Amino acid sequence: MNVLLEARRLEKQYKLGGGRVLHAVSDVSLQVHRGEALALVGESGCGKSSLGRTLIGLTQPTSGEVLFDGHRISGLSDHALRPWRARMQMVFQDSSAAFNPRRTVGESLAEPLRIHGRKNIRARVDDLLDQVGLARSVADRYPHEFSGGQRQRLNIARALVLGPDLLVADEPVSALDVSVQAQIVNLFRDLRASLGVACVFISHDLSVVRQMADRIAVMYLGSIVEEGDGLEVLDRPAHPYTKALLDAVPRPDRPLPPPLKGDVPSPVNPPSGCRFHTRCPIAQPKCATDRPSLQPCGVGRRVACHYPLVA
Amino acid sequence: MGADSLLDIQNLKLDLPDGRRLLEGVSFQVQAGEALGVVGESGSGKSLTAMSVMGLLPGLYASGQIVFAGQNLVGLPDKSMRKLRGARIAMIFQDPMTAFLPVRSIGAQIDEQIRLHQPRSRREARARTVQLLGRMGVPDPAMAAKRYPHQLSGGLRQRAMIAMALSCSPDLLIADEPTTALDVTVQAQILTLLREIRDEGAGVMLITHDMGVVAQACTHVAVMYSGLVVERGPVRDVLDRPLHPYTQALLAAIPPLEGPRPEQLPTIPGQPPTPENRPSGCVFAPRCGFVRPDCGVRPALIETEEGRRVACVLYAV
Amino acid sequence: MIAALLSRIGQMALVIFGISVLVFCIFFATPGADPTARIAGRGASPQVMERVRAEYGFDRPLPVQYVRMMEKLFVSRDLTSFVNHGQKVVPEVASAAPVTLSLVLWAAFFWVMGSLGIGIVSAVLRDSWVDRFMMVLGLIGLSMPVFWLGEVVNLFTQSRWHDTWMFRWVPPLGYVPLTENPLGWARSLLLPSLTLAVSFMGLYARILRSELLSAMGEDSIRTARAKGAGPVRVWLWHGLRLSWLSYVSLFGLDFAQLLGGGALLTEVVFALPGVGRLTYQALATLDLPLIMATVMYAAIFVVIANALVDGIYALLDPRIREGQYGR
Repeated sequence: MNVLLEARRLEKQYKLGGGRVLHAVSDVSLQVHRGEALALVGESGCGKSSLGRTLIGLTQPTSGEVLFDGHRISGLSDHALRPWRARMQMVFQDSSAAFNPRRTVGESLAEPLRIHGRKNIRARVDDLLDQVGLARSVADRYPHEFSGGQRQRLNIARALVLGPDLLVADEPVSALDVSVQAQIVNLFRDLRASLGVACVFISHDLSVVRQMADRIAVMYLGSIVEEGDGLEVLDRPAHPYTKALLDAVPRPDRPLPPPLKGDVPSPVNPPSGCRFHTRCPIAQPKCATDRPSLQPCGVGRRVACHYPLVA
Repeated sequence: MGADSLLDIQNLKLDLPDGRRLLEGVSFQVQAGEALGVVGESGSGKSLTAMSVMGLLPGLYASGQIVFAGQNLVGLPDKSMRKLRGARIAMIFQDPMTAFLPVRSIGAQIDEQIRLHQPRSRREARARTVQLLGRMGVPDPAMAAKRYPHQLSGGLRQRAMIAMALSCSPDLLIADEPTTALDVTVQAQILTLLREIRDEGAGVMLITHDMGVVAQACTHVAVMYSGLVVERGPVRDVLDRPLHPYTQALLAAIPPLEGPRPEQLPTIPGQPPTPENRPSGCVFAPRCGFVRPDCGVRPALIETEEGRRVACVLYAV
Repeated sequence: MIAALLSRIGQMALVIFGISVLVFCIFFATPGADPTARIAGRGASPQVMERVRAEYGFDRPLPVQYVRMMEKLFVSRDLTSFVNHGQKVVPEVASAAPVTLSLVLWAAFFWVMGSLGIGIVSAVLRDSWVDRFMMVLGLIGLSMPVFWLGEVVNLFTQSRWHDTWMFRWVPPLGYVPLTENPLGWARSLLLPSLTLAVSFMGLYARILRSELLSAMGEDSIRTARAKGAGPVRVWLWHGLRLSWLSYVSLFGLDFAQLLGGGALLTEVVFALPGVGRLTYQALATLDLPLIMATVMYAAIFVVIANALVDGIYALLDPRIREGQYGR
């Protein structure tokens, strides 16, 4: 496997009024290999969406760099980014906003092909609809005629039009009903198998992430606290935050353990030391002062904790 | 059953003015001290059922019976309904950000509900508000009462919303997707809170699409599909041994959080019917793997064992 | 808080400065037109021309001319109109201002009351015949030119039926100061202000109706109903509270615009010696100093009103107070 996308020490800060700075992403380094699916999980405000957008150049990092296929794409102008855009696409949560309501979906799907001067446009659109499991005849219909699940399929088709190497999907199934969600989860698996496209899934839903991703990076307040093989991380969490997240998922088979206390601290004013220490059930004095770095922990796993739950 | 139920909904039907039928005959009960989870996908009519109990569906025609504490709410004049709403039946909503008026403080909005139903002075109402907020686990409740909704975190907002709903000690609390907009760790806090409320003797009707939430917060569950209850019973029984093929499929479609990872998730083919093309027989028949000729006749919700009911020909006697 | 206030005042000063420069340039620095001749008036003698040129510094560079003009307007306040036989301009505006203020206050009172009533009733009875009738009425009010309406009112109340019982109380055209005779003041302004208010009433009622109706679809209104609040409380306490914002901002701008001379037509038709009529006269005679003074007066009012609207906004909506609007 070789590296498709690499982030090195990414920082993303937003300036708020009054000299306050929101640290959306702080010191994130990660790699996505060709054909691999990485999931960024965490609660709202943990920076997973900001990170996703920074990875594909929709926003520029404050510092650090992003390499795509060995080339530096962070800091490039919009114009210089354009050739890369075809190779990285984004799928959004709100599946209804991505299509022009006054044009047939066929026209919308064909547009990027026309812009990039591709041939055999009609055949390509038919191909795409086959791939996402829609009938070819839907190309002549308008976006409002589709259900939420079908629209999400179209949305994925739109992202696949130019044959990208990487998809970044921000909460691709969280707006869907369970039965439809399962269809889309399966679709992503099929597409990865048939097209070899790498995916970065951004999600808050651990069971969905477990089903969709090879590797998981758990984020808390802008930083990755734990990263590794998906099943490994979720079956034997090393970071107390990962464990707390897992415990908080309501499941039919066991009563809820006592939940974490309090709310996520403000990213404008993050705690000192380990950012999780204010809510951590096993915090020690050292955690309030020393910030743990992401250290190897087992095979292909990294964790940022002074007292990891697995050695 | 029936006479001693806190809430007894019998064959509730709801029609649009143009004749489309949104609810096809919903029946279930909620007892005091119990929590009924109403689960279903979007469009199944679970929220409509809740709003019917609140009497908050202007422009729709309801028929059937909603008996609350011995009184039929269908056709009750709005004036009498208003005395119940907020006082004996209270409701909390999915998004506490939009559910609160953005331009008034949380405390003022809770005070308002108290003073709408109880002859209390401003000061007494505020004292009660602060006490309620404190009980809901809001830190520094007196200060929090002076805050505006946007100044609180999502979890605190939902706690304030629950405090408001409980301000007049209602007999029945209806919660419409109360944790959907919240993060899991905060959701766990709110579910624990709902559990305590039920333990204190109120009846709870929890509307959700999340089976895990039902398992955590409810004692009973009713599964809705296309405007009908297709299965209901005690939570443990239904989740461990779902009878209706729809319930089975719904549970199977949830990706597991433990054990082996399936190559493909089981899915339900097709989509739920819209009110216009709802089948005259079993509403789930077009998507069902067990469909038989006699599914062409709508099956009744029959009792299969003590406290369990299912509407499916597979269990007809 | 104080820092915010100071920066706000600084902004206001900057805006007023910008407007003054712009107005000055338009009237005094237009290439090819000699402001001296225009200020001195038609057929002025060379001596007068020379005096004007020296006084205004028209033989000096533009910035100096600008400073002179502003000094005459705001510091020494002795800017004089040559067209109008040496009348001092600033006191003229100052004496016209109370007339306009009285007229606009009355009109605002009528249009706020009227639009509130019509808007709320229409929204509550939406899609009924009452609603449709009121909205058509509003549209008619909106589309009636104020000078025409004013003339019609005058026609009925001043000439044809003036001596019937209905309009006997109507005083002759013109203005009665409040300090002289409060009752006469009210009487002299009643019809002009109603005339001025009609079109605003129609517009504001329509805006309030649509804002109210969209507010009634909000989740927080559903919550209010779920709390057991009655319809009166839901509409007036919760609904109005949500729909105020655009109404208030529009009101502030219209009010300021009218104070600044926007009531020109009404004042002319009813012979009220207000700022609008002054502007009208100044334009008719191309009296540059007077134009300069009235325009600056209007600008100051609009800027102050803007600041007031922002203040009221912040009072109405705590999210704006913290500068983090948006959900």
